[in-house]
Amino acid sequence: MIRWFCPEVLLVLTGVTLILADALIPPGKKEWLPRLSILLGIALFIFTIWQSGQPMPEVWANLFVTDGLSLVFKPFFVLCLVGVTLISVRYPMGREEVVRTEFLALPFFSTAGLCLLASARDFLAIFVALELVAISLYLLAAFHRSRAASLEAGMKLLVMGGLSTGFLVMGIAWLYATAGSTEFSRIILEQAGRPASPALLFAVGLILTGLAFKIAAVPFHAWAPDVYEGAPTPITAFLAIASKAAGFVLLLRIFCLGAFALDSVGWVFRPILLTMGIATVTLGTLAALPQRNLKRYLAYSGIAHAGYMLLALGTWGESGMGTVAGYLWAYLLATFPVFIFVQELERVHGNADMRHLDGLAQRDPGPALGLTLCFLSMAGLPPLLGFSAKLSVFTALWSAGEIPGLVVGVIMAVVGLGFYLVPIRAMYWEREPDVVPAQRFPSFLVWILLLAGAAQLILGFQPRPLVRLVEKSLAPMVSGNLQGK
Amino acid sequence: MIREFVPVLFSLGMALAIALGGIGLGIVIGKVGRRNRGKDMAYECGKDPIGSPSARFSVKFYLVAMIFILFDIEVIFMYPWAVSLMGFKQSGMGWQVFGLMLAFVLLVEVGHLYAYQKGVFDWNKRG
Amino acid sequence: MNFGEVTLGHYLALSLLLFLIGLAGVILRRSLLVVMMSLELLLNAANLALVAVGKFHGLPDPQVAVFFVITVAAAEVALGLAILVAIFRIKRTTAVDQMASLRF
Repeated sequence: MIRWFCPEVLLVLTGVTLILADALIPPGKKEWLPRLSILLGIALFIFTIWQSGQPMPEVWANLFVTDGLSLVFKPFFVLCLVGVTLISVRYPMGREEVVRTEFLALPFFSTAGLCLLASARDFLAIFVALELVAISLYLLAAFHRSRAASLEAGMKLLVMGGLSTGFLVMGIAWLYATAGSTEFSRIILEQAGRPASPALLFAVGLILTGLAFKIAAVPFHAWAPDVYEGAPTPITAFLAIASKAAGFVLLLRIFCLGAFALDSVGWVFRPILLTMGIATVTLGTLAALPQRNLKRYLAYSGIAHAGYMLLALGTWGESGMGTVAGYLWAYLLATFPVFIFVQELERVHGNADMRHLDGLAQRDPGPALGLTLCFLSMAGLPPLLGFSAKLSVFTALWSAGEIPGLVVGVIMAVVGLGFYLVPIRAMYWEREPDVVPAQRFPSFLVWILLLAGAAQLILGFQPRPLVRLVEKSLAPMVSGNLQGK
Repeated sequence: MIREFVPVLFSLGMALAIALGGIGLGIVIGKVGRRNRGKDMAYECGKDPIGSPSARFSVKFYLVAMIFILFDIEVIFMYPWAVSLMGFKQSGMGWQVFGLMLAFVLLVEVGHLYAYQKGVFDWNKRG
Repeated sequence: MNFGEVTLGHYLALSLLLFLIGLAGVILRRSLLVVMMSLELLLNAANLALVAVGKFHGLPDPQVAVFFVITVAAAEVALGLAILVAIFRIKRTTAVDQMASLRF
């Protein structure tokens, strides 16, 4: 009975409760709902942290497994949810109703899907969970109904998401045709030790294509900047961090320890992943340089980060797997604060442009310092957290002997340094604009930004907690894998 | 060979009987009421049946149709459940499986309640 | 007339053909409605493959998978049409191909 109290069930119940409360409580008496949803989110986060100390692994109906990977990433996703809820409350929805409970409730459903994804071990379960995430996100991206850009973002996300769903389902069909099952352990049993049939490779290719849309890897990245720019900022953050992380968690589970952790598959798909990684890093870094809109800029930055993680994934080993897990946490800690700030800029100026950063350091030194640390961490400057993350990618590539990937990665890290300096230059060296907005940033957000910056420094000097997290995600998975075999 | 089509002939006959019978009975036992243009029009769900085929019609139609499809689709999950319920009952898991479907229906019902409270089914509300 | 035995290969080939038509529709068509119809075609091509595989291999699982796909497709298209209606309201246009800013 106790296993019914898993984060997924609680998340769905919370979402349902919020929806019901919205429907049943008369308008005008709902002011406490946003606060309630923040509190529930924090409570769920504490619950997932507590649960990650519980015994594992546990397999549930051959569909879901509680293992290291899921226990490390469920708190990740719920933390994203807390952050998103925190800033959705402040999202300027314009003249529409002040309390939009759906805007707060739908991320709970989406997060439930993400948590399911983190522990799914059957492609059918993956499909259902992925759609739970995606369909909530289409709606959320289009939520700002009075803004054409938001609607178009939702539509674009829907078409791209639908396309990726099509590829995924087709891959599942071909998987049934070749392996006779979509369950990871059965596929491994069936396919281990023999050459991969072309039909299996085709199925893997289709599934990889479907997931490449989700992580916005080149050449399936074109939707990302448009959607990120148009969607409401909290949702952009959710898309950029949680949804992307979900794609990588899936890739890890599929290629590193699940269904396709086979040499016969790796022989074909390792070079493909590495090539995709190289292309993604290069395009993400170079295309970010001319961006003036901060959300588009962050989109390309996210594409570049996805590229580094793809490179790590392409090393096809345990070290690559741990690297990706650690990188995702570093990405969350460095990127989310920037999105918080982007939304504050939007509240003041209507949109978030690079020129709105001009002279910020004189006006608001606190946020400027926090943001600078976050940007530098994203750039991978020592001794910040992002440096450890990038370094571990390069170490994994070096020890796997993937020299082309390593060379491109290092070059693009250096080039990227230049483009992460653009906002910092604007904040510290540009003259303050003549018309200074009267609104100031609320002090609790200043503290959050400073805290985030401090986290970059502290975790950069002492990455022990993160390393332990990664080790934890690795250890039981290996045994779980053996169990599968 | 031709005998296989007897049921088709039969159902054709039934269809004709119902259609003609309906009209005929109406003529025979119905009261002759006042007629006007509106009443003589063919009935088409309250819409004007004659006119441009690409005329715009209320988005309400679409909304109700969409809600119908969403709830209609949920029923496909009940077919396999209904078929396999007896098997589960024999293995002693009947109530558990019944409870699962009950939970599913409750979740769908939440959606219905939400749509109802938001006035989706209120035809007079501007959508 | 005898066209020979219909095998799983025939079904898979047909489903791939439908998939390609759907893909071409999503990529090439400018009208959002047609794009969404093409998305449906993609999913239904996959459904055909699933049902055929289930039938020929004697597996019940793919048939169940089809249920999920149908549900997801319905939800997706309901949402897509809702967003489409909202776009109409903002842009004050009923002609889908006039929405030049939406290019996929």
